[in-house]
Amino acid sequence: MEVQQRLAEILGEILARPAQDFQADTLLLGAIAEFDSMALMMLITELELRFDVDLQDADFDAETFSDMANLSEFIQKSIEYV
Amino acid sequence: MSRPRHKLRHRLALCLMKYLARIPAARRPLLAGMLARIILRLSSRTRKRAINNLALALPLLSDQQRRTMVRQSYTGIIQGLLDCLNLAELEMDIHCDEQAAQYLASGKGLCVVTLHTCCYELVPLALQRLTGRSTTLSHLPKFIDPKHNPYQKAGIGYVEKKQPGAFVKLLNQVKQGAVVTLHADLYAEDINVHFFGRETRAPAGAAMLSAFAGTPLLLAWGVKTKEGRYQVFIEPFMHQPVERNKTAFELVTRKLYERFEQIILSYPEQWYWSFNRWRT
Repeated sequence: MEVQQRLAEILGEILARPAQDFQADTLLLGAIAEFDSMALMMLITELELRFDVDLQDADFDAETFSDMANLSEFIQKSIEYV
Repeated sequence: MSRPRHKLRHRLALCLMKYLARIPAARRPLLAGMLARIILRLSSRTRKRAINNLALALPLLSDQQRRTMVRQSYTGIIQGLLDCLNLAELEMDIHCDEQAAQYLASGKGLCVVTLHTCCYELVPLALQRLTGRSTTLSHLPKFIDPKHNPYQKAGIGYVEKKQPGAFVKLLNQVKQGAVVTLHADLYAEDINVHFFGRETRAPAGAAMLSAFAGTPLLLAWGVKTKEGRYQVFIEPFMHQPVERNKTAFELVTRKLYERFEQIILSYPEQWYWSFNRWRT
């Protein structure tokens, strides 16, 4: 839950929306117009900073960013891998 | 539009494409010239936009010179499109800087940035011939089946630009060793740049790809000689990956646009002046 909450805050900052807009079932990439390639790269940078993980060689694809659930799971696994 | 009419439109478009692909190379310049004249006569918007862009970028040209250049540019665009239908058969000379050649020969993924001059898929084609692992970002209408897909016939991979997550796909392609080409000279909301003396905005995709894939950034462009022969030039632009922050993306993209200006000024009749580049 904590990962999801922190993720919601980060997305809120990057996409200029309230964190409450990002719930477990919120669709992301492809569903939010502002979530373009620049926002995506900013997100990756912030995830690395805030969760203290290195995603340079991480295995992710478009599906990873398709919704909050997938993205939260990806971050959780990245944290555990460290 | 109803499904049968949609299907009919697609069939007609595919027939037209097959017909145009059969036009011999020697006849394409003449056809391109004729089509350019017709389109520029019928589409005042396209014509005026190109003339206005030239007035902005090359103010010392006379009105007649601008009109001539617009016609030359548009003829080049159309011939480029016709040549793209036979991408696998195109002949070209490739001029590759020594350091760029070493990067390409390394077998590692790379990001190559380019601009729209003459046949705009020359660079991915040149890279395919040099490395065998070229990928580009493009949009192909759905009615084009694999048998008629010019990229597939030329062995070039492509990522559909209109799908969500296209950038992630490109990033993964580079990580897997592909040499990815991105056109960076069109308008996009990412970065403020100076371009021919005016403020505008540009895509940061090439800088971001270099940064997040951890690769050098190469610059390449294609031109056509007076004799009608295609040439591609490839040079290093950033030897180290771009740093992973927005300031670095801005600096690199702005430097890139300075280089774009130099290239366009060297071959002004070959760039696509009819784009709505400055969003005027």
